Amino acid sequence: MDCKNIKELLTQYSLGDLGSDEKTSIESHIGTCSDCSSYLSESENLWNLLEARDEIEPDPEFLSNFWDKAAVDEVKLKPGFLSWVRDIKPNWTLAGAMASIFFVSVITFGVFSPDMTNNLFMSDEQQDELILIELDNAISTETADVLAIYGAWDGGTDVNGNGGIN
Amino acid sequence: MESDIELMLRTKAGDDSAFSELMNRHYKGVLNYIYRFTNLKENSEDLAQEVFLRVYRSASKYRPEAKFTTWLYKIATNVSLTHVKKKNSNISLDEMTENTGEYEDSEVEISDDIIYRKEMKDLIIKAMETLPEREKLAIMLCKYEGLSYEETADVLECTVGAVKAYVHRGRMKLVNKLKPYLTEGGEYGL
Ligand SMILES: [Zn+2]
Repeated sequence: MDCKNIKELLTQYSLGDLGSDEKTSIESHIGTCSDCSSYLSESENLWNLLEARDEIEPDPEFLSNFWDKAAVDEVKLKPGFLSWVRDIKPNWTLAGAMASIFFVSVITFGVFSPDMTNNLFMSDEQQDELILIELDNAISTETADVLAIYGAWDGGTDVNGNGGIN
Repeated sequence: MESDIELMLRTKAGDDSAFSELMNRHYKGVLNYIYRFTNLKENSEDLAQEVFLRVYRSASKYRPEAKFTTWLYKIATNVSLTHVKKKNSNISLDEMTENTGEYEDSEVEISDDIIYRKEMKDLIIKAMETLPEREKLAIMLCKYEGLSYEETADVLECTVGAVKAYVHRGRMKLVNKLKPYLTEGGEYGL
């Protein structure tokens, strides 16, 4: 392998994501090529340096703020089809654009596709429901098994970065 | 400790304290994910609240097949993207590879001046800002949120191979942009 090919694999190499053959050939190349070995150390320094980004602390009132909003939400928002109509304001440019998109869609596809993913024209609930459906479809038993090597489903304290690629 | 799924199922059954527990676990992670993505401190708290409101509202439809954090970060990504998109309403998502935050410059010019004045983290933020959306998101999810390649692929709706490519390409670009800081024993090195 030449240096270009080696560099293509260095990210995976430093994340421990290569098979033993590739690993061996990279290690033997790095042993003799100062260019690639310094590139590897730069790349690893970069990866560590990313941790220098600052974190923000949640508003201490974040929970009570949330429950206040959730309570208001429940009163004014009846979930369902009509909830997005509420948010529509007369906007003829948008209406024109939507009509064009509609027209083109009908011509192009002939039918309505349930998979219209243009988020802007969907209510939050519809969007989130679609996400759920997609996820359900995407996660087969097989992939669930694959996921299992990353630990229990709950993630829990994992969110700040101990279970993944570090 | 109860799993996220158990808590989500309790929420679904009407137990709000279970949802508070979920928020205690994940709020800070989501907040910082949004903050790193949008670079806007002031809005991040509102957006994080919106993410959890959406999750809460969808609780009745929740089924335990999906990993909770994957779902959560997918909604957080959508909320962040929608927010950024509103701010850049004339740029399409695919084109929107730059200027996603408060930083106006898309080029990272590492002049001597900047080197001595700016802190490292500002440079990292600037460099991250120049990455294409998906490379930035892939690095953020893998590196900061600790998601696996598979989970990141679910969030970004792409293949695991694509996630690896995004992480790799993004990482190479960052190395090139921040090179003066990365050389061992170099002028500005570690
Ligand atoms: Zn080489």
